[in-house]
Amino acid sequence: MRLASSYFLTVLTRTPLAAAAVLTCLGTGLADAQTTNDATSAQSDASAVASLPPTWDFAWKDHPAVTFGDVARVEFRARLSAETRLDDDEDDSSRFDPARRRIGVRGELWKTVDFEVEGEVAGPQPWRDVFANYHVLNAVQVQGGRFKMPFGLDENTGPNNREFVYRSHAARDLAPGRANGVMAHGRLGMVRYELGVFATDGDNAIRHPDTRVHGDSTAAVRLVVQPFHKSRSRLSDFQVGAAYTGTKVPEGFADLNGHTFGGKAFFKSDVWVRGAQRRVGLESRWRPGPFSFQTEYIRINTERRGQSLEGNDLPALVARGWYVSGAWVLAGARKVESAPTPKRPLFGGGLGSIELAARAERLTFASTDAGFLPSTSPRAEVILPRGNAAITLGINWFPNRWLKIQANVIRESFTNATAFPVPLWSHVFSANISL
Amino acid sequence: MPPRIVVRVLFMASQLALFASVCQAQSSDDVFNARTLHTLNLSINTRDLALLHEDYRENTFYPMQLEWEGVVVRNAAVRSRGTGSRNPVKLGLQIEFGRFVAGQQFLGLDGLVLDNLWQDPAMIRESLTMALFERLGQPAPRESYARVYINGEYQGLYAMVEPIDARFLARVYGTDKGYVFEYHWIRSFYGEYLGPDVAPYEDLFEPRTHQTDGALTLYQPIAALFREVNEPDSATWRSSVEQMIDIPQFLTHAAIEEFVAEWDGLTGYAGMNNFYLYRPPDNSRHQFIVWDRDNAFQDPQTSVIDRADENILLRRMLAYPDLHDAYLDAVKRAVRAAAAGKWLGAEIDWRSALIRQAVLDDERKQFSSEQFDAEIAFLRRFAMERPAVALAQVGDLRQPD
Repeated sequence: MRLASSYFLTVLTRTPLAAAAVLTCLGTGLADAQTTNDATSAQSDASAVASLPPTWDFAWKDHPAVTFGDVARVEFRARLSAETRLDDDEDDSSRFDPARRRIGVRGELWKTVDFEVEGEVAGPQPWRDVFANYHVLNAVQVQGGRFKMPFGLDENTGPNNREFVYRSHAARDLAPGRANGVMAHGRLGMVRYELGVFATDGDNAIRHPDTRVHGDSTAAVRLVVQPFHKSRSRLSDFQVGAAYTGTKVPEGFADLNGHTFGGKAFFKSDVWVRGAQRRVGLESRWRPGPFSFQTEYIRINTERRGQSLEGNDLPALVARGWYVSGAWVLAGARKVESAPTPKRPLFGGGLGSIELAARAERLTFASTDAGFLPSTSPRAEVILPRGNAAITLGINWFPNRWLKIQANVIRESFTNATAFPVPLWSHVFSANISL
Repeated sequence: MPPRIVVRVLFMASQLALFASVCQAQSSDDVFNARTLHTLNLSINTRDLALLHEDYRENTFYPMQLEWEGVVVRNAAVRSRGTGSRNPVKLGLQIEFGRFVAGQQFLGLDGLVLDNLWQDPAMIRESLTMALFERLGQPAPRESYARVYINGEYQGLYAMVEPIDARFLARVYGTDKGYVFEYHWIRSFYGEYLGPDVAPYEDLFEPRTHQTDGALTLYQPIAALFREVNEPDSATWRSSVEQMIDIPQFLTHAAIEEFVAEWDGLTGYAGMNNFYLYRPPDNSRHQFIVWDRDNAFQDPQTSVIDRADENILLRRMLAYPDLHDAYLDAVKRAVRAAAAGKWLGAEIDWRSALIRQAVLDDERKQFSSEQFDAEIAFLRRFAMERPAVALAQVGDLRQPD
């Protein structure tokens, strides 16, 4: 039985479509069972009505959607984004990137299972999210497939709601990202929880699978508390949270790198690691109206068992990242829980809404002090700290609810990064259309 | 003075003397003290060591610890080295102390070469040649012998060789601002002009200082050197070449090589090989620095102008009577330096005695212990025969006035 359940988990966590299908069938079965139980006292003519083919309906509110009675609702989504970046770097990192085209569907079956399938039209990894979520009880929901692991506020904020063109360094380089897995989640009063097992340590930790090592089976948990969620005050949206992931990495160079926003590595983790890898995150957010505030801290400890010159344990490789960001909707909307949808869109009697945003952040890679000289050696007792501190200033314009235009100015400065002796300035412009 | 005070003063004096002796030992001169058989302990992670053996053809650096006479350097970097001597059994090793720790040195050294003495059955040809170059005032790396252990396991007898780098330049020339290039044998090169494009010179000459300078800064003077050398005969040829090369130094270098019957040097069997090219910071008069002399001391009957006509620089210079004489004078100086007081024979004796047990214990060496003894005997014969042969050849080569 244990063997069978282990096999089931393996298949489930490695194959998102299988996981999603299982949950869908599970939801269907449970829904049927529930319907059967509920129908014990129902009249026979109700069965006759249920056996009729469902009528379908098409509507376009926020998204084009098709509804099949009470059986299914399917929303069609598409997103197109184009980006231009001008770096003061002397090489060709400045670029125009029109390539991001995503399409997908979201929907619900029998009002018990919701699902999402989203893919990149062109790209190395075509599938982004492929999952189903069984949600009969608000307190206990089960989600399976491929989706973002429950870690990181910024990482789990969708592109439509992001205040900056780029996610923070901490989210991009330290948060795990997507993986195949199953997760229980729900809300218990003021607490939202997510608890899952995943086949890997997430896409962000597997950028160079041929040359670097990463964790396989990974456990993840995230707790978010909204202490004033029942309050009608401005504090109702305030939340704090903590998250943890744990995995084991085999012997090798960790796939844990620090990049500029342009994608160049200022720290390549040419450091031998082996053992447990633990990721801890703390987060907080508050959106009391036109002003919003968000902060996050992520730390990853990766053990280096038996990696010294003599085969002894070395102090762990430690990656730390944090950011503090704020945004202010200048005009045209009131920002609550999502992007500031303009009250009076462009060509609808207004100019849309405008938001200013600023973020300060830092990302460092180092180890704990062990009394030796800091070194770039792959087996250094004290890893030479390398880091990136960045300031981002941005302005976001929402001409209507489907269109977002962003302009960011970014200054990145580096510590002990020989490839970046002087601060790097970047100017980024981005246009996004979401249907 | 009370006896107690006298005792204290004497004790303090002895402590100071001991301290001074310890301090004196902590210098690179002692690392390269050729009269001592040193012990060098390296620590390398077993996985890295396996990779070092497996990928011995690669120049990948691995972290290591070096310990010599109680001096420990942690997180140094080591890689496999050598051309013909590169092998997975007895690794040739190059150590850099500052690669992983910025500015780290070992007693003032940025690096250290551990020559595996793979190609020389006698294992002293290299150090003998360098000693003769030094005796004749020519720039040459310092060398000494060491039993090398990795993770406590004896790896064999190695020569510790001073790298030709900025530290070497500072010691020899008094400034580390000059340019020095390691010559890499890629194909037979006799000193031809390879054209105005610097790319062919980049392949041949690898900078060991000024590595971040632009290619034109580094290589245009080298291209100019070989352009001038290959200019047709004219009244200005010599003065032009003198601006590009230290001719007396070049002739002396070539003469010593010919005296020691080296067949893989400036007049090598396949073109020029085994040298560094030095350019001072304030002028373009290049000098040659000797390197890797495992193939010296071959046939004592070898001509002192063996293959001199193949090397364009030497051939063009020897066409001038005064330079021809200067070259023969340099050969004579080498002869005197080797023969005076039977210096060369004595060098062979004490060097072979110093290393013999370490050679016998060396289970990774390419040649047998019997071959070692036979080669030492051959070198002794060379030391006895070569001076007279060379002098006779010099006499024959003198052009009548």
